[in-house]
Amino acid sequence: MKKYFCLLKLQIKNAFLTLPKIFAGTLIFSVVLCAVALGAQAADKSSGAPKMQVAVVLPDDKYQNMRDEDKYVRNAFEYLGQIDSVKNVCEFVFEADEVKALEDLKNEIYTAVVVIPERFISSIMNGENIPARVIFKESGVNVTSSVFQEMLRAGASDLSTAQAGIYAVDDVVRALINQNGALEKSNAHMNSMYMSFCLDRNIYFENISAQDRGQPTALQFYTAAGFVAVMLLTTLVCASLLAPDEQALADAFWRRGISGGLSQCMKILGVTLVFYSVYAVMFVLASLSVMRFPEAADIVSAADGFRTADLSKAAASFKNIGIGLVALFVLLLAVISMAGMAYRLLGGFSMVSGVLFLFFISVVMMFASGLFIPSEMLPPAVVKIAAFLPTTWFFRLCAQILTGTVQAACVLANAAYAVFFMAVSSVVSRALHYRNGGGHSTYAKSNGVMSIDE
Amino acid sequence: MSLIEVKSVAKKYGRHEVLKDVSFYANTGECVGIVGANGCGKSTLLKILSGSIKPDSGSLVYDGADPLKNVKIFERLIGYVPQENPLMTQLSVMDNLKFWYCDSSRSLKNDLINGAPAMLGISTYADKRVDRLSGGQKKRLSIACALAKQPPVLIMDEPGASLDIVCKEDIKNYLQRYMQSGGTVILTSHEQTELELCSRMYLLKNGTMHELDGHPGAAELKSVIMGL
Repeated sequence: MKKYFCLLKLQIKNAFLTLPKIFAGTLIFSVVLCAVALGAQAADKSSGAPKMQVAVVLPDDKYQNMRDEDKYVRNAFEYLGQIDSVKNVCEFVFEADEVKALEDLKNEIYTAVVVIPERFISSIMNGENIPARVIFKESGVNVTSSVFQEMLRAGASDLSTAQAGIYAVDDVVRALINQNGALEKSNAHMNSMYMSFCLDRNIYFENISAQDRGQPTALQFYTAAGFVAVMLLTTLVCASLLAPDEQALADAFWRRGISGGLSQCMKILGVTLVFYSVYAVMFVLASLSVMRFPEAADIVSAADGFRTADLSKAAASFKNIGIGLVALFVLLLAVISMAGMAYRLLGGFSMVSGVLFLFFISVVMMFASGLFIPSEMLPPAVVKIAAFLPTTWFFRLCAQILTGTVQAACVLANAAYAVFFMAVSSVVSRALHYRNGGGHSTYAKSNGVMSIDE
Repeated sequence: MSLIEVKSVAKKYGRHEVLKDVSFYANTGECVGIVGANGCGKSTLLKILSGSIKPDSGSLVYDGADPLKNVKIFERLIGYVPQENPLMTQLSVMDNLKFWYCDSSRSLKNDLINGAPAMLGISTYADKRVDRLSGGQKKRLSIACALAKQPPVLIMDEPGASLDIVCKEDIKNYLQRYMQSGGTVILTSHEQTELELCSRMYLLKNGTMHELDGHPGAAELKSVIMGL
């Protein structure tokens, strides 16, 4: 028994000697993935359809209160510009010179010009309603112009609804309240309220916090996907650690009663412990940082209870972190076992073939599991297959660790994958040993060979 | 009775019959040399003798017992140094020795002072990583590992291949001491200096063993191997 513990200790030591390499690999792959994500985001923005430019011409400063009116108009257009449906297609540019704006419209710099009349706001307030002029080109009106026209109609409809409300309240106040100043106050209040309601379209949508049901938010989804990708890719730098033993060493181990499969399992355990030492520290630090930086809970909600003064919630957070640490170990064991199996299958030919094989299966499986693009965008057949892929279960457990909703079934599925991968490694090792002329199973047994496939 | 008796051992790799009918013996304290052309089956024979692979037929008798039936005998009696060094290359010399000494009755600490590792000069580079050692240093370490349990028989597959003269001399000197203390050595080699250690020599040719008379010189050995 002593020799098994001694070899295990040495394999763990061997793995820890490469800790700087693994740490650097984790860092490099994290940076690369972040860069790719940011690049994709930037490319997505730049490849979008060009926005229409609409000039907004403000009136000349002839009247005393014009500066205030300018402010209101500017505010209104800024409100408009912030609405998702508007900002994706349209950008407002304030122009002081109407002639220049019209010239630019001719030169197709602007899609339309909105000329704000004098006393525009005050005319709305007193019911006079001086209309703003919206000018399109005489010729060459196209789909873009039509889209803007539709937007204007929708906006005008919203505004008229708002105005109707304001006038109704105005009439009610006039009829029922005779206090001095009450009418002006109610007008101002209703103006503000209706304007914000009609311009803020968020009120039309229902906000659902999926996080409360244990589902990851978008941020947590991509964080979990990123972690799984980094874990799998970092195993590429462990090729020398997880590659099968050279034949002479494997034979020597065999003579001492240690099968190739057992040796491989010890290597996997050693590498897992090294990865665990990196990821467990990251997880605990991130969890504890929730106390100081509550924003971190957007990523690691396993520690969400620390944000409140509620002791029972904080205790639950500690429990979540404890369970998360156990689940993290199982997750890493499964990930490293998969890498170990890949190296066992092809690493015997050459290190490069093992690395390429692992890279290929990792990327394909991550893609099929919906880690790069949402599963909804993949063919149904791929989604069905993905349910059985290890990367799907790696991702689920990773997301559960982050959200503090670890489920025993998911941990067991990952543990089962780990056992399966190690068993395959062991069977392949044994098959190769026999193929190379090895034998003496009686010798191995009577020497107490420990092998997980026996 | 001889310490090692090999009778009618045969081994095939697929259809290729490497060993057809190999029989020989080795007595306590002697050195037996096995020579033959490249690919004649020397390494296969040594692997069978060390318990790494199983013969298809034939029998082995080690110290009066059958190791194929009680295979612990291999580990108790045989120290094996293959051509390639069976070392954990990313670990230190000391770590490798620790693994081979962990279930040995001998003390590594003492042996680093006056045992096989000390005599082979390993103590001076015990803290070095194996992948930073020279070929000779690795070979010395392999021998020291094989001797961790102080086995009475040492089987070596071309120990001097690609080593410098100094290293070959050191290994030769150690083997002489080992035999003087009652150890038995079975080795394969193409080196005249190593074969000088042998008290008896066998030629492995066409899958069968032929005992050579006396100590053939280099030219004579060449003609014997080539079948001239």
